[in-house]
Amino acid sequence: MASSELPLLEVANLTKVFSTGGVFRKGVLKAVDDVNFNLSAEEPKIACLAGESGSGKTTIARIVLDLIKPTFGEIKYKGKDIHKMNRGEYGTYRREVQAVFQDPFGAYNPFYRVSHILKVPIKKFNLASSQGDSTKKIDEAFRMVGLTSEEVLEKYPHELSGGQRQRVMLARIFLMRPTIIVADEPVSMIDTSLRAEILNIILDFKKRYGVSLLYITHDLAVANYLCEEIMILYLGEIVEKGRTDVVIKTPRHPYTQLLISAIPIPNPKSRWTEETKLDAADTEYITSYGLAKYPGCKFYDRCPHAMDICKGTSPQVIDVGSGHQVACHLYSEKEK
Amino acid sequence: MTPQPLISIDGLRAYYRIGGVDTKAVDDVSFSVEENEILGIVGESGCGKSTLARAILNLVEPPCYIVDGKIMYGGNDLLSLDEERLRKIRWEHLAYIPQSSMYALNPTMRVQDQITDAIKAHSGKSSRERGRNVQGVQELLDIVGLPRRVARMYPHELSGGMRQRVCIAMAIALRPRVLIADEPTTALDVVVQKGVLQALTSVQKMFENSIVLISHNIAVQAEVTDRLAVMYAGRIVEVGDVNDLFEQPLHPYTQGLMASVPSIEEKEISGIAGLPPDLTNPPPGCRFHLRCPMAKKECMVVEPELREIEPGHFVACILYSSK
Repeated sequence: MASSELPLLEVANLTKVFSTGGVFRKGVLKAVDDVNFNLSAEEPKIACLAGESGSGKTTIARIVLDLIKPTFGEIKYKGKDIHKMNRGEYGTYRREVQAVFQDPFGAYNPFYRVSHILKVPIKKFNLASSQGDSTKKIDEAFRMVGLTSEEVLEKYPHELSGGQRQRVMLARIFLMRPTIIVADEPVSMIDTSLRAEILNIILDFKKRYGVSLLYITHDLAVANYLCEEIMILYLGEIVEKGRTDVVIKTPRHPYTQLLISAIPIPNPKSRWTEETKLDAADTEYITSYGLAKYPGCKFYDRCPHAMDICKGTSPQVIDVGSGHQVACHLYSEKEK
Repeated sequence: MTPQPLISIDGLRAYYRIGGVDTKAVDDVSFSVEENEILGIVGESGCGKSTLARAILNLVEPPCYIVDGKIMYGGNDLLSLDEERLRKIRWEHLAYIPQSSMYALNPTMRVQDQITDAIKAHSGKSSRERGRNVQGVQELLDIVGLPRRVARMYPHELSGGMRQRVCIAMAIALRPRVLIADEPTTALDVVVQKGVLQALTSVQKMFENSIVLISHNIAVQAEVTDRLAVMYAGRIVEVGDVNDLFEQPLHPYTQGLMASVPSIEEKEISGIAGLPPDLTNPPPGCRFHLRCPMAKKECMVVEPELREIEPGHFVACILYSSK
């Protein structure tokens, strides 16, 4: 039927403008600029939004979670605009679209024990029929994330390690049986040896329970491990998207190429050979001095292949083969 | 005869005393820094690597204190020198690049003034030579790849990567023999990180000095270091040539750590079960035995010593003690 053809999540023409500055320099910052993507309902999938600091990835996550309102554009969950839902629909969206944030230390109220953190959503969303059922569900959720009730249930958040806190968060989410998890850098504050296990729990959510994820990260190595699809953001725009392995092996946009060439590889046999020039290196420098200098491509200042057309005209999104899309004039020239 | 190491550290212990209880952040650590090398120290949060970095410079502050050990540099034990002589050695011989360059720079001073200030404070040169120092500032900025106009800018006008380069420029102002860089790229984006690491390695090639690079990021270590030391729970568990360590990690912790790093080249990763021990009360025997897949009975009792298994490759694990 129609509902199965609708994407699970649809982000259309999403734009968010923040006003910046104060007394001396008033300005606007387009944190998100006409972003479009879907999470399909057909099969569960992990889609990655990747970009450097200031690329707008967290802003997109917050808009999808309805924590902030977009300036323009729509977020549709199962075909319905989340800002036009009735109470019941909004409640379902709230339960089915869950979030994990970066800082597992800031996500908890320090005065409540772990048990309280898990019992609140059970009560609010009527997830259990009885006290016994509630205990059973909590036990199951802990098992899913590799913890036991005895270990953590009566503890306070400060008694848990970063990895354990993130697991408790995942257990809480698991209780609600979401369809989508929006994960904003969930492992960037967790040590390497513990990180792999958290990533594997996330993969398990997808494989065993069919949960889709919007995974936000700056770390393309993590994206490569988890995500089928990747979208590369640069200053609020998606400059390239496609299958993760394809984009990482054959990046087409000059920005993606720069990004991938700078990823350190944990193998001393394959070290960097090319130098990265400072002008090309420093996004923040460009962000503070060069943003919106030209009406064209935002990467113009840093691009080694910049052409005249790039300065004045924004590039269109072009399909370079099997869903691999790039917004770059280099490829529109070839099309002709 | 093998050449003398530049710095040799022997039996170093640095503890934090809070409420009468010691947290054993660095506990019996011995290693050396050779001439003209980049030595990486890798480990997870709380393993003591930053404490170690500051302890090498005898820069620890309460509640941290140095319990015992020796840090030999140029025939002196840095731990027994007085403040005045230490001040001469710091910066001119051993310089420190801090983790948060954001807070390490004075927000009210132009970059050039901060650099000359540091030069004056540590080399005892008089203000008459100031003109020469400004010349030096320009050169220093060139070396770390910053445009010269940065000299007249304030820290808030610079990005994180540029600030980190300013810190490197300051650190190398007096041509130190050893640079100790504590997580110099941790808060930076990958492209900027690469630029900063390149600045560090080009400085090393130019001055032929040594760098101790503290970083939790194994991929970063793989890109730049010559030798790598792996720290776990206040101890060094393995040291060796970086290629050997990646190709044939010997300590089960090193093996686990290597297997847990995601890469754009490979797909499979696996973690290490369990958590690092509480350093106020570390377990007896090997500190890794609670998480070690190969743990035997002896591991709970015997503290393994760091022993040379192959030339230049040291490991602290009883699996290799028979060799």
